[in-house]
Amino acid sequence: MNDKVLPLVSTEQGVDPAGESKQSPARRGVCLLGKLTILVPAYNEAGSLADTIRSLKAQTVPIHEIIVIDDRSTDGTDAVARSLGVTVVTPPQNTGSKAGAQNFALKYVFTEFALAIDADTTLAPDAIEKLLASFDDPRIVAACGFVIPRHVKTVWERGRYIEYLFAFSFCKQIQDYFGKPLISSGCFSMYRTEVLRETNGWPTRTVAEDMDLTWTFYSKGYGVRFIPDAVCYPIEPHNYHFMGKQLKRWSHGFVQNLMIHWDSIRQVPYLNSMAAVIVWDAIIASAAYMVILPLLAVIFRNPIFLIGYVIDVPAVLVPVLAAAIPRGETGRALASVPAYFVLRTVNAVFMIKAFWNEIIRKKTLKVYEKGH
Amino acid sequence: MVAGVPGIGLSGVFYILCGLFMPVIEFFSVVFGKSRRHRWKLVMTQFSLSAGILLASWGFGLLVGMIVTASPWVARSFRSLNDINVLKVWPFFLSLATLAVVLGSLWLFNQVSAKNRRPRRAARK
Repeated sequence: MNDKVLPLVSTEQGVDPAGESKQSPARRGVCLLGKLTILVPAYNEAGSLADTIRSLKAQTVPIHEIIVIDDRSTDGTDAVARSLGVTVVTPPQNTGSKAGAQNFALKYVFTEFALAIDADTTLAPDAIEKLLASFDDPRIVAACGFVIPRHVKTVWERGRYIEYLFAFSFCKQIQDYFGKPLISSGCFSMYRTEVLRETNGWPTRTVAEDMDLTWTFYSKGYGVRFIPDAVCYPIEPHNYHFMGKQLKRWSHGFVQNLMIHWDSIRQVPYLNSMAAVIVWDAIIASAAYMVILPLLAVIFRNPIFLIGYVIDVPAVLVPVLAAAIPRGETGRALASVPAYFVLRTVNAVFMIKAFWNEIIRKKTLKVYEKGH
Repeated sequence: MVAGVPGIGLSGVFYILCGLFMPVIEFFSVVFGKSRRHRWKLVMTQFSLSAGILLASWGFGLLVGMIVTASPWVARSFRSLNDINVLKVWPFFLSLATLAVVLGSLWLFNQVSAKNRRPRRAARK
């Protein structure tokens, strides 16, 4: 690993650290050591950033540079990053989003690949090596890995744990087989830098920049991979306050992306089918879950309809246990299943609200709020 | 299911069908000379999961039915329960039909849009 090739960049005044006089050979693209630059956008992440950087330094492949983008934090995030010997860059003012921070740092990337990782996410030691291997195929421009919550204690973390085990061990593997992973997850994804620049970096027009970028790649004919062996561990929202913020951003981001990309993705086989069934689930299934099931039970005075709330327990359990047993987490998974049903009810409410606000009320969510 | 999107719902049925068809697709890929044999492990895993979901759902329906019918009080509450398995076949076929309608509508919409686009392009030329 080689994250100390470049001198530490001081950016206290928000000055462009790659200014003409300061430009190192690497920054001018003269010397490329290693294939990969890692971008870590961070806003008030002093508590979690050190773990992230340590896990990056423990990777099995050499890394040219780790760049922490301190988005004008007020909690000493920059000091933590500097103490660990990585490059720190600071935009002139807060960029307002993860995409904005990453775009600010894209001009300092001179390697073939760029990896974006959240400042609250750690990696398995071979995660980057596994992702890099997928780029042997020249059509692939982005790759993402398996996501497992780092802490599984509260009802919200447990719900998310089940949600991820199900989605990443079943749905996403099928999506990858058909060549169309729905999203290259923003918390841990690798990209071909050239193509990233061609698409003007991470889009800032929606609050779900990862979905926006992935769908942009598809509409331009590029390929994306999901690599289940590349595992990352983000910190998930631990209470309703932060879970609500994250779900609001995700649900609005999904609707925003549908509105922006619909014309292009409906021409993309398989992706269009996935989008169509998700829209159905998001609107019709959510309504059925929240309104129709209890209504039927009341109208027909028959509680049999309420079994609808739990009838898919085995459908959830099969892929979840298939993923949890090899990880030695059977007990944790079984104990977490009830929390999943709480989370999905909340999901349904947020999704219906997002459709209502974005499409009917034309009230677009523009503020990017972190999930923890 | 997608994280952040509620429920298993229609997308669950969609992925189960995809998983069940993966061995067929892979078989034809091999037959037509597209060497993808290394992917059989993934294919069979996802096929097993899809089949496992169907079997487990049927078993769960049976279990709930047995519990319900075992208690006369509960059985009275669940008046429409005539057989032991609470999971009926018709909702599954209804889901398949709904999926067919959703995907069929998408296909139809794409065809109509493509047709509308062609005359516009010709007019521009």
